[in-house]
Amino acid sequence: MRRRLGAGIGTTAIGAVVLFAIIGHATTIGTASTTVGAGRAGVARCDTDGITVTQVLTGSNVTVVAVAGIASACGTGSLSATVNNGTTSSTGVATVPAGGGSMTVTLASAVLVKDSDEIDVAITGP
Amino acid sequence: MSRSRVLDRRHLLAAGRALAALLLFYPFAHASVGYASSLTVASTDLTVYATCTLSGTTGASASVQDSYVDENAPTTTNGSAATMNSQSRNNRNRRSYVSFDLTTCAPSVPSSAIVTGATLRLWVTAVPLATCRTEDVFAVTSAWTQSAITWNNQPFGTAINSPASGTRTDSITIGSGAGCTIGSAAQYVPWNVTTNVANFVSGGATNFGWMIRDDAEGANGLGFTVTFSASDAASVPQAPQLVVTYRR
Repeated sequence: MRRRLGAGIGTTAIGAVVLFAIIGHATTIGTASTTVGAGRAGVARCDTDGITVTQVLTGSNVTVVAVAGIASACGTGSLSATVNNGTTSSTGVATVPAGGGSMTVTLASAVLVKDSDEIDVAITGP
Repeated sequence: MSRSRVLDRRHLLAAGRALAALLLFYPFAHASVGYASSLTVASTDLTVYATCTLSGTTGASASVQDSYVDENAPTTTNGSAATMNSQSRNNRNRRSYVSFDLTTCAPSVPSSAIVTGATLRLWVTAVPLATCRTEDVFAVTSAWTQSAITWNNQPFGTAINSPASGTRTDSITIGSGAGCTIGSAAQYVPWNVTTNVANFVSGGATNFGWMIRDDAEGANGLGFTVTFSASDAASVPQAPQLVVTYRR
């Protein structure tokens, strides 16, 4: 009885070793997925050589953001522009013209111009 | 039955059981692999740029220093003037100096940022008539302040047409003559200063701002004058600007 029990444990151990070897092998495939999950995979950009961003004013407020030099690969993507003067911020969203080029984005609300303003532009897609 | 045969049988039996266990658990192992493989990231193209715009909105702007120097008044400071000039005229040449404190960008531009574009923008209030003048911009290589700079102590010295045009960062033609890039007043003049700002941000060069001068100083007669709005004009829509676009 003790022999059978010992043999059973031995068999299970061998089976587990073989099984883990296979799981280990399978995990090699899974590792590729893990790399993507770790955020190390590059996210494609439709524009790599830069854009020109200019504030368009109404009085002393930024009401519109003009963006030029958009690569044609960004055409039909969604462009979001957020103006932040350190106190208030506002965002506008518009569709990039097919073929890229230039466009304007109207902000949801006006932002007062200060000595230093930041404009964040994000193009999603196409 | 010899001891070795018993061992062989045991080994055979153990191997058989191991194989059985393998076949039993393999679907689970396979299922686990299948589960891991389902971690597909559905990414969308994303292009992100940040822009810092520094503006001389008032004469006391923390981020901007600007002035002009006048060969005809070589010890006079003009840091509180509402306008500044670039003028080519024999013994009466004028140059404009402007600098922007990049550390006032909020959030700050990291030294590792990739500067994809930087534009120096000055609002022009008067252009030379019936001609095109080339206006050069040079990166300044030593310190100055708007309250102390004069023709005599300016960083580039008092010799006209110095530094040489070939060392300029950018140039643009201004005037009401045919073919000028900037043909009339009341608009911004945009000089491309990307290479300078990239060096300032990375630490490859120190930021002392820029000097603007006529490409051919010392013109005879009444000469040629371009007038820009200075930060002391305290006009937000006409404020001197530096626009820096970058990727973090």
